Amino acid sequence: MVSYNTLVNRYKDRLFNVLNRMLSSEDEAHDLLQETFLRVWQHKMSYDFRFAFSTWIYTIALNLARNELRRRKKIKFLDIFDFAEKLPAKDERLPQTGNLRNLLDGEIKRLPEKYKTAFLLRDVDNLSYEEIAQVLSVPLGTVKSRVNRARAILRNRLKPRLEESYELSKGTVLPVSIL
Amino acid sequence: MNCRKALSYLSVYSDGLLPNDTVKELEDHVRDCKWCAREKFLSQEIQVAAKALPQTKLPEDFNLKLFSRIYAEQHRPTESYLPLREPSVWRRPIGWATSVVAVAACALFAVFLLGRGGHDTLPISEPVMHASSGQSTSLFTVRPYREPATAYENVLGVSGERSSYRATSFANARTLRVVDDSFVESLYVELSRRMGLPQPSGFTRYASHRDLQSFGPRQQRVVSRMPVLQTASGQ
Repeated sequence: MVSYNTLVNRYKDRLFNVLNRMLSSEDEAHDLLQETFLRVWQHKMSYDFRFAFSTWIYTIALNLARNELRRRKKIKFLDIFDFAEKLPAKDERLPQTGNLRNLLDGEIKRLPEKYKTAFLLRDVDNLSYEEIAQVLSVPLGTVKSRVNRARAILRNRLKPRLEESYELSKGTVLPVSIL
Repeated sequence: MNCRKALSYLSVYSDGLLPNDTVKELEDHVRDCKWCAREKFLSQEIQVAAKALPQTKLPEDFNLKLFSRIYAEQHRPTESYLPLREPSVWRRPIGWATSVVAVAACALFAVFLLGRGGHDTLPISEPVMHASSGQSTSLFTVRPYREPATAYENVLGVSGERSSYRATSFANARTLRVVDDSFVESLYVELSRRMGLPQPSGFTRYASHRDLQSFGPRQQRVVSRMPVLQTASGQ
């Protein structure tokens, strides 16, 4: 149990943030994270030691997340305030100001699911392309293509916001986002 | 290298997976092309920002709740604690016994059906014959065979079934069963005696089953016209 506690501590924050960004809901991410660790515990005997543990646990978590997203498509949840106040759609209510990280966070949530997953695993969680291919059960080339596409979409969407930074960066060699 | 190609290499370049010579080509191009330089800058900025995205913290009691749930799952009552279901019919001894009895009854009934008439012989002593009155020839019924006579038997007057034979009286198409065709003669003698009729002066032999099988179609037609029984003259 002590070693399992160590495993939980090692992966819980990373998985929680990936699930949170995929589902856009902290409560659901919390529930699915708990479910993920529960399944890992229940099926610990079926773990194949030839593969990395991270691959296995990410696969479980992302499968749960995809199931949840699929369920959402079947059952549409409508926000009554959207009708009452005729607010713009959720996606359009992104912060128009703020630093690059907040803007990027908002834009990631708007990405199509397959690009979002690939981008999060590669650029946020630093998984290798091979690991991502295993987690998503898709060919390596497909993963590279999805990551490339996700980066291109984000670049195009954030371009107007980054123009100023680009001008600013001409005088420095450091990335503007950490200034 | 043109801008389009440079743009396609940007992602792989930022991952450090581009071959050295291509890296040099790309960097040379970016140095001269402002548009590509800007794209490279944007790409790097996004990747740096992605590494430093705001992280949402889990509640402090996450581990506690998780282990409580794991404990609860481990100690959840399994099916054996639940009320027992009614066992299937096939799992009950009475079910098997009933089936065995039913099968045995069916087998016995089948044996009875197949065996009845298979070995019964004609009880000659029983006076079951019926004589016709007056001038007619001796028409009689002797213990009708249980199965109706086939058309073939009716025409030919005799047919074979395994080791025994059937002889047919043409008058009422009843069939009597005899063990061989020589028995038919003695039967007729006995019948005539009991009925107080003159003894038959002669018999036309039945064609035996073996004979019929060896006959061709023409001979069979001849047999079909053959008188089966010639009773005493004057009847």
